[in-house]
Amino acid sequence: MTLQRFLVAAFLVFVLGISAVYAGINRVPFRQEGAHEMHKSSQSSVIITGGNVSPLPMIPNGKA
Amino acid sequence: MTKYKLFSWSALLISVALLILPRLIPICNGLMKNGSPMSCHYTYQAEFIFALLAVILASALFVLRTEEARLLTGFILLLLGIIVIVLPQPWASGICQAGGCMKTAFFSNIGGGWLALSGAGIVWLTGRKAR
Repeated sequence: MTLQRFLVAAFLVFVLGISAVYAGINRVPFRQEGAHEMHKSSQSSVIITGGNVSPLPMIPNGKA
Repeated sequence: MTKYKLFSWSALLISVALLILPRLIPICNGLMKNGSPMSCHYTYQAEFIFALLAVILASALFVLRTEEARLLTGFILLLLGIIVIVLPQPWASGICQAGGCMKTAFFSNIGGGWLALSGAGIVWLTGRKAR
């Protein structure tokens, strides 16, 4: 095998290996333990707005 | 089989073994409370890329003809073997303190040592011939 052919083959092997890392087939899959609490939003709208919720309803005309 | 071929095959076989090691002896596959993977995951992703490089360099030993090129390749394999040993250390990338990855690290340390010795063997052989 010539060096040029080897370099092409080595580059293909390298790209294949990086694709394996991207796809995650080089390792065992992560353990999925049911529904994760951490994926749900635990914040209420009051926390998001910092507690500054106006008690008056917003009227489209801009008059409260 | 010449000594050079023996060291080359040894380096190639151990590189392939290091590549598939996390599939054979899995590292921790759980997630941390914040949903991110543990440190051993990142360490072994890096180890995979270094093992991939080692596979390519070890295969190059069968193609290269000049003594200088063989010497340099053997030297880089020696360095890659040391990197494989260093990565799981807590002062480098690190692994979990008490997890399944401790077993993987034990075998990857043996593999890294073997790879480093194979690289050193090639350096020794080709360096002796070059003189």
